[in-house]
Amino acid sequence: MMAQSLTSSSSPMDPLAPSVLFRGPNFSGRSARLHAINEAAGERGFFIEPDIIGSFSGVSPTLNTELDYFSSSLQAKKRAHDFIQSLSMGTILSRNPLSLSGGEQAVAALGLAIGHGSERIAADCCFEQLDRQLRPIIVDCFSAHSQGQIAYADNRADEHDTPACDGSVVLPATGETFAASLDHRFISDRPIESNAIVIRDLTASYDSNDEFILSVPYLELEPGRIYHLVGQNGSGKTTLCRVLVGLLKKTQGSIVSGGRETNTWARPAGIVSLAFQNPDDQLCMNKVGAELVARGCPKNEVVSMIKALGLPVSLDSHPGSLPFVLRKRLSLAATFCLPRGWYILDEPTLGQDNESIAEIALILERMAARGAGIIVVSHSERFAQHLKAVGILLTGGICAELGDRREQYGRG
Amino acid sequence: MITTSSVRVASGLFVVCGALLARRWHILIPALFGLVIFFLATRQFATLRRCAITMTPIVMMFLGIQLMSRVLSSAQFQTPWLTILRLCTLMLAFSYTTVLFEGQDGAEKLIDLGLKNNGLIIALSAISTLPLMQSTARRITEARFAAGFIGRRSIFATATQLPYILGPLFTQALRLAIARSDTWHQRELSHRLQQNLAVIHRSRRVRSYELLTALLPATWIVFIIVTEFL
Repeated sequence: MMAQSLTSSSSPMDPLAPSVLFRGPNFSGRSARLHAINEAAGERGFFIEPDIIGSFSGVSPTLNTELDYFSSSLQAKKRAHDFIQSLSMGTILSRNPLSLSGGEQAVAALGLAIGHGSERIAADCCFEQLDRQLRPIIVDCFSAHSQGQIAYADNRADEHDTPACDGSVVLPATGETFAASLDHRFISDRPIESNAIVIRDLTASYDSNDEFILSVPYLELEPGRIYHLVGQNGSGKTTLCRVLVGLLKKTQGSIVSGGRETNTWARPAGIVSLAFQNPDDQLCMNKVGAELVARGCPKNEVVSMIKALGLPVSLDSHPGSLPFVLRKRLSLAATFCLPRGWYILDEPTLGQDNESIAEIALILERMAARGAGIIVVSHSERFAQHLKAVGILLTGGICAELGDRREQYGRG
Repeated sequence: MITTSSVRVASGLFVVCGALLARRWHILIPALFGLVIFFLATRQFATLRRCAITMTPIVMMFLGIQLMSRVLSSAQFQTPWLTILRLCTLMLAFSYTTVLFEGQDGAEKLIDLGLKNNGLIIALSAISTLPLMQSTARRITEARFAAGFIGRRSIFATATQLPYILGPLFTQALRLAIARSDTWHQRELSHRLQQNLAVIHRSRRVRSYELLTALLPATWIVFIIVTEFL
């Protein structure tokens, strides 16, 4: 498709363009534009938030039932099915939309928009969780099955797997933002004690009847290094993270830390601190400051952590009142405040612009230099370019080690 | 045709009426007996477990209030035990009905009962509230586990987290409910449901054991009225 650049003063959605990409840094007004498009469309609109989960009605046990309930016609429902099947994700139709992984939820939400017969779809940074196979084709595939226009914001718009679009709107930084930039220099130099983690013959699944089984025959993770966990949507990346932190019980195998076998299920977060993919799953206090202090951040380091992660908000603010991009940063800050030797970050760059992504990479390298072990789950190619990390590939639940990720991508 | 859904809702309503009318501690027995018969007949132990999970925080909240009021003698909010049992029974019936709805096609059942337009929306909101709070409570608990606030995984350790969970639970559930109401409004939920369910409608004739679950609480109500009021 021929990309046609529109100025920011143009109409937010060109009537001739089936797909429009909003480019710009954080706080450039992309979300506000998308909300305006959705509001103008009224009942013909369909909005997908960055955390996607709000796109589902919550009254249907499966995605298929959701389509039964809300499709505008049998043809629209069939188009939605065809769209999902064309991405080889037919299995999600029989699953509860709320239990899907991030990338699967993005596909499910677009399928719902097609079934609903929406004419204007506004998707705010929800394609960042898609893997490298799905991302380049998602918008084309959507346009082929939908009769509506789609406007979307995407922080990974400069990467080579960016979804193709018919037009783009470039939004400059407004200069009036209540958020500061991230600054890795505020991260403390205090050394972090950490031990190697050795995983042997580990298997885990969410349900005994579940077809999906995570299997890690052998994996040795050394402290002071960054590991980049990669794999397709639904390959088990988040599952492995949940086992390591103790939110999911392993079926068999062992996790050895510091020479001793560790039962992570019995002692959750005993060796690992986890930053969830969706910050709303993680933030559970009523004040920003409390999120950090409760996890063990020394009071004299709270302010520097706030500055490091670019959170200029009042410490008394409610985390839920922050925009998604800041909630994500706060969840990272909270994760680093927990004094553990290992940190797992599930999609830490969601909603972050290029400048922030580079700075997050520097923060992680600084943490690794202090001695912490870090595991990053991310589909962002740009982030991988910035990060000096060892790759770990998960395919169909099976784990294998890759080489140096930065060498594979080439720096910057 | 008497359908499964109407019988289930009727049995839930009977239990609620019984809970409001009964004046003694035996309030729980017939309700539990009826539910156990249902679970044995349908072998829905997973549903029983989910009911228990839903019920636990609510029961513990009431018990916590009760214990606090005993400890703080000056407290003015002492709750009679019968009221607590009554609330528990109400929540059990509500949980029983909504958990079944969540696992199956709740909207379809409500439309079976003749609900439509705003009535349908209100009923759907009601039955989706408990699963919403249940999932929110589970997320907050997991977040607290992942944050290292709960050192060891045990029932006691989890129970001690209850006071910390309630605040964020209600805040987040309210935020989600508001976001959901916007989505429902934009997608014309009520209109679409009624339109589409006319096409995909599939009700099932009631089975004998399901009738029994309605008859038991109905008999119970008659018993209560006879012994307490006449």
